[in-house]
Formats: sequence, C-alpha cells, structure tokens
Amino acid sequence: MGVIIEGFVEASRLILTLDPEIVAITWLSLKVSVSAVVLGFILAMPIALALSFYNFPGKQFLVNIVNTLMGLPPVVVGLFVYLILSASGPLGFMQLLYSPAAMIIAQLIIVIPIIAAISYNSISSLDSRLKETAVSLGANNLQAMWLLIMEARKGIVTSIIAGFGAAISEVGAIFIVGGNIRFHTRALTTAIMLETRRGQFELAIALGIILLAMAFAVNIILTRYQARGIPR
Amino acid sequence: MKRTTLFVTVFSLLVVLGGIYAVMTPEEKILRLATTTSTYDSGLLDYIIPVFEEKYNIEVQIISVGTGQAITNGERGDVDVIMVHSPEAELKFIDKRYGIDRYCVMYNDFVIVGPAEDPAGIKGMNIKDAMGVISDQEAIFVSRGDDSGTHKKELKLWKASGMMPAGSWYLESGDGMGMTLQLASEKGAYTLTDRATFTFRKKTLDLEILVDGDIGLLNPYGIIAVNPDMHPSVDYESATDFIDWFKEPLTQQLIAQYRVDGEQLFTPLNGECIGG
Amino acid sequence: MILELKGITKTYGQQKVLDSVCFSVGKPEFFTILGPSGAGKTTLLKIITGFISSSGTVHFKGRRLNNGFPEGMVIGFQNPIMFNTSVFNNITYGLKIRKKTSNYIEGKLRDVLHIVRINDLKRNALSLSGGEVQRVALARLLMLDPELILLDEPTAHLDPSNVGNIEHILHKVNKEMGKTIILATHNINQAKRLSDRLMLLIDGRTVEISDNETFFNKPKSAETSRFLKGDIVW
Repeated sequence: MGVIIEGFVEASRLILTLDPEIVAITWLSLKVSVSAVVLGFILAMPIALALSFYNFPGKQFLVNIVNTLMGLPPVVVGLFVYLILSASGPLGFMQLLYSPAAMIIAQLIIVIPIIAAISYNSISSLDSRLKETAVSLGANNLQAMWLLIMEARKGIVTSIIAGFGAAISEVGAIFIVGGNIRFHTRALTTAIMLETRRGQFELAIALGIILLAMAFAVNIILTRYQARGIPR
Repeated sequence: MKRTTLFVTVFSLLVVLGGIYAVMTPEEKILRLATTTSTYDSGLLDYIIPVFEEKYNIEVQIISVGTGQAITNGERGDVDVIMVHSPEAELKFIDKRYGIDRYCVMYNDFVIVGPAEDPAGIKGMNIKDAMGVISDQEAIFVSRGDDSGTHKKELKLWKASGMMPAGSWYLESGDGMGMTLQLASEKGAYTLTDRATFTFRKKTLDLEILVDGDIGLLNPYGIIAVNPDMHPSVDYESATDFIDWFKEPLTQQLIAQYRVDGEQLFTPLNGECIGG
Repeated sequence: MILELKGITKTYGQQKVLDSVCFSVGKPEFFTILGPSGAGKTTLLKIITGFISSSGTVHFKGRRLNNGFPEGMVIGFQNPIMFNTSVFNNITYGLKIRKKTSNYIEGKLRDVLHIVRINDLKRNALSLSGGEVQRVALARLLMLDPELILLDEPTAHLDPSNVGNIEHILHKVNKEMGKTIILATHNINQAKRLSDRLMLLIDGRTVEISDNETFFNKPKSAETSRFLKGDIVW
C-alpha cells in the first residue's frame, strides 16, 4: 500500500514540475500514437468505404481478413516490422529501425484494421432506406455516400477512439521496433515496463497516471463529436 | 463545437508534422549500443555515457534487451556496438566475423540470493555445494529461462554441480533480471543474479545475498564493435571511438567509482579477459 | 400530361407483380392508386422513380425516363426515414446539396412552413413522433418545389388526428400550391376524400381508372363494386 501512495505523491510531483524526461516521454507517446491514428484513419477509410459501397469478388473474404487482423497480436506486428526494417531486412536501407517512424509504422498496422472494421461495420449496418431517401432528394452517388458517412459518424468516431486506445496503450510492438531508447523512442508504456523492471515504481505509477489521463482526455474530446449532430 | 473541431484538427496536424519533422531532421552523430537489461538496469551506463557523449559529440542510443537479442541485433547490423556478459557467446560472435575489436571492460559477480530465513540452509557454502543442496531439497528456485547471459551462467553452474534442474520447484520466469528478482522475492525463492542488478533493486526486495565470492561466479563484460565488412551501414568509426574511450584510465576509474547505496557494482578489467 | 405509363410489366421469377399497367396523370391532378396491400403499389412507384427496372415506358413531361431520378419529381416513402441531424438540416438537405443560397433556402422554407406546420426546427429529427416525421418528410419534399409528388401510404401507421392533419396538408398542396400528387393507399375512405381520379390495382392488374364520382357512385367494373363493398377478401 505504501508504494502505491508514495507512487501517487511522487507522480504528482513529477507531473506538476513538468519533469523534462516525463515531458519527453509523454510527447513522444502522443506524437507516435496520434500520427498512427491520423495516418491510419486516412488509410483505413478507403478500405471501409470500398467495403461499404461497392460489391466486388472476394469482398466477404476481405471483410473476414480485416476482422481477423483487428485481433492481431501487437508483438507479432512488432516482430514482423522489426524483421522488415532491420539492417538485414528488405527495407533496412531506409534506416528506420529504432526510430519514432518505425513505431508509427508498427502502430499503423495495428490501428488500420481496427478503424476499417469498426467503420465498415457502422456504415453497413445503417438503414438501407437512407441512401434511397438521399437519392430521392437529388443526391448524387458521392453526396449519398457522404450522407451515409455522416449518419455513421458515431461508429466512425468510436473506431478512432478504439484505434487510439490500442495505439497509446500498446507496448510489445513499439518496444521491439523502437528499442525504448531514452529521449528518442521511449514511450509511456515502454517506460512503465522499464521502470517496473528497475523497481522504480513511483516513476512507473506517474507514467501510468499520465497514460490514463491522456486516454481519458482524448476520449472526452472525441466523444463530443458523437454527442451532437454535425450540420451538413 | 466548431472550436473543438478546429482545435482537434490543428492539433493533430501539428503532431503529425512534428513527427515528420523529427524523422526528417538530421541529428548529431548517433551510436547505437545493444546491451543486456541487467547492464542497463544497473544504472552504470546512464552514469558514465554522458561523459562520452560530451567529449565526442556523439549521441549514444541504448537498446537494452536479452543477451541473445543483443547479439542478434549485432549480427543483423541493427546496432554499431554491443556490450554483453557471456564470454562464450562473445567469442562465437567474433568467430562468425560479425564482431571485431572486443575489449574486456569490467566484471561484477553473480550471487545466489534467497529469503533471509534461508530454508535450504545454503548460506556461506561454495557455489557447487549450494546448487546441490537447493536441488536435493527441492527448494524453490527461479530461473531467468530466457537464454540470457545470466541464464547461460546458471545452466553452467547446474552442470558443474552435477544436478539437473527440473521439477515443480524449478520456475522459469522468461523475463529480465529485475522481474525475476521480483518473482523470487514474492515466492520466497532462491535465484542467481548479478550483484549489480540486485544491489540496484535491493530496497524493493525481501531477498539477501547467501552465496558469493566464488571464482566460478565472476561475470565479465565485453564490448564488441559490429564488423563493418559484414554490415557497411554501421558506424564503425563511432564504435571505435566508443571502445577506445572505455580503454582510457579515466573511464576505467569512473566505472570503479560507480556506487549504488554505497556499494561498488563493477570492477574494471583493463582489457584482461577472464573466462575466454 | 405530366406523367404517362405504358405497358409496365414486372416479374419476379415466375410471379407477375405488375401486368401491363397503363395510365396517365394530368397537371395539377390528385391521382390515387388504390389497392390492397401486396397489389404492387410500392413497386409501381419505385418503377416510376427509377429505383426498380421494368419493361414498358415511363414518360415524364413528355420525356422518356431511363434510369436515375428526374428533376421535378419526388417520392415520399412509407415510413420515411430521418437523417440524424436537426429538423432544419433534414428539411433543407435537398436544397443544400443543390448549392442553393441561404436566402433562397430561407424563402422556400417560409413558403413550405406556411403549408406544413413544424414547431421546432432545431430539434434532432430522430426524436420526432410518427406524425411529425411525416410532416417533416413532406416539408423535405416540398422544399424542392417539385411538379409531381409520389406518396406511398403516408398515413399508414398514424393515429386518426394525424391522418386528418396530413390529408389536410396534401389537399392544400394539391389545390393551393398546384402540385400534382400520385398517392398510393389501401384506405378507401382516404382515396374518396382526396382524389380527383383513381386507379384500382389488384394483383398487379388495372381493374378500373375513373374519376372520383364515377368510381365511388357508378363504377364501371363489377370487381370495383365488390372491392368497395369489402367483398373481396385477401
């Protein structure tokens, strides 16, 4: 019990004094995860839209693949990205291993199926009469598509929240491809792992609190999008 | 609502741009060092490496992993230099031409730690007898079980004592030294650890040193550059600077000076290799 | 002549849903397609608007329709669906996607609200009651200033007071705004109250097309008489 209370006291001190190491770690985590989610969203939406609005051979198979990849173990992603980016791997010449870019790539692979699957699900479960109604009011294909996206925005925002949650709390993959290098690729989760290993529980708890607070803040901000109707 | 949208959009863009900027900006010279978790967790590197960085204007990026992965990182050319404590694996690494310029930096020693009550009664024994008693009495023993330098050392010690570590009393943590110590502490078990990590972690553990000082328990650390002939992309020049810096008397002195809770953790070797 | 259908036939597998249906509607007529449920009324409306293909021809304002939705014609579905946004956004959707100016939209909105009373434009449309949904759906169609309005059972699930309210609006739309309306309904009394002319559709067949007076007082077909008396059981 003592460790936990001391942990919280030390944690408050570190956070309130803006300890430079904590700030660097937090900033890196945010940078990597937000980049992965933003890029992941840009890459996942075309997949979700293609699955929602077009019929093509092998579509159901692709849906199954995306759903399966949603449960991809991050450590496996980490190993896979490591082998590709490693100096002896096919993309070794790019020298991306043990850099924030490598961490973003690994998180992208984790985040894309999550955003694509949840977004597809929320668009495809919309009432089919919505599209008919939009067309009957004069919408062309693109406008009808946009309407359906807006109607499904709740699910789409949920997909972003889920993607960000997976990214910011992910540890296995970014540890393998980032290397947990101090002031360079050390993120909140890998730092917590390191400090726990080292027995620096106060620091680990402080980092844990920041991680929770960040996930919470992002949730609050994004949930506001779901709550109200966005004017079209 | 609109303000939030704008805020989130602008913020996300800034973050992504920051990420791209960080990737694009060429930084100062970087040296990548793969080392073992036990080395890193001892805190020694955080203590001495800033001195090197200052002098050479080279940023050292430390990747701390198991001995097995540290050596693989070297073999694949993902790092410029490795620092491990497994003489046999080090020599193999050099035999395979992946490593050159090995320098024996320092040593610490392994110790057997366990609960203060010492249920098997091994306190003060030599290592060979102690291992025998633990196995005979089936006292709980936690092994790293992760193919690390410490794990390899442990297996060698079992072999030397003529025992086969197996059974419900023999637990494998599959984790780093810190977590393994934590586990042994929770279970009231014995384990083999390097003195540095144990000293560093002592205050959070219900364990104490029961067997130490045996010549068979010495733990030498070597530093090896990755062979640029095998991996032209490595920064051999910085690796050489790094190794040369370790050879300096001042650095060796710095290592000897490093204390945790008043205890010296490492003894400089000045290039004299032990155990191969 | 605003709309003209010739030989509209639709089969699903072996089943003939519509059998060479022909009729034409003038401007500004209130034309009702009367028939029991399952007679093919919805299918017929969807063929006119191009959602379903068929054999036969549809001419709107003298031009043959192939596919796609013709400007000047709108359809109100049975159980209309609201977009998850404000009532205002629902009503103005059709004009916004046509990139009309907000001045134009304001003006149209005033005209439409004059006919269709809607209290709160800021409310989310998903929270509306059945009668309100029908009114907003009607307003959404009227904003487009259509010449022809097709309506599929607009009062099917409403309570009597709301039915009266919607019928009153439809009457005004037809007589005051001069819009042509084609109404599909199974409700004989509603048809009698509203229509200028009617068509009786049973099992995809045209039984009779007559004006209101003829249809209800001296029908040309014996089947119509039986239908009006309720002798035909489905």
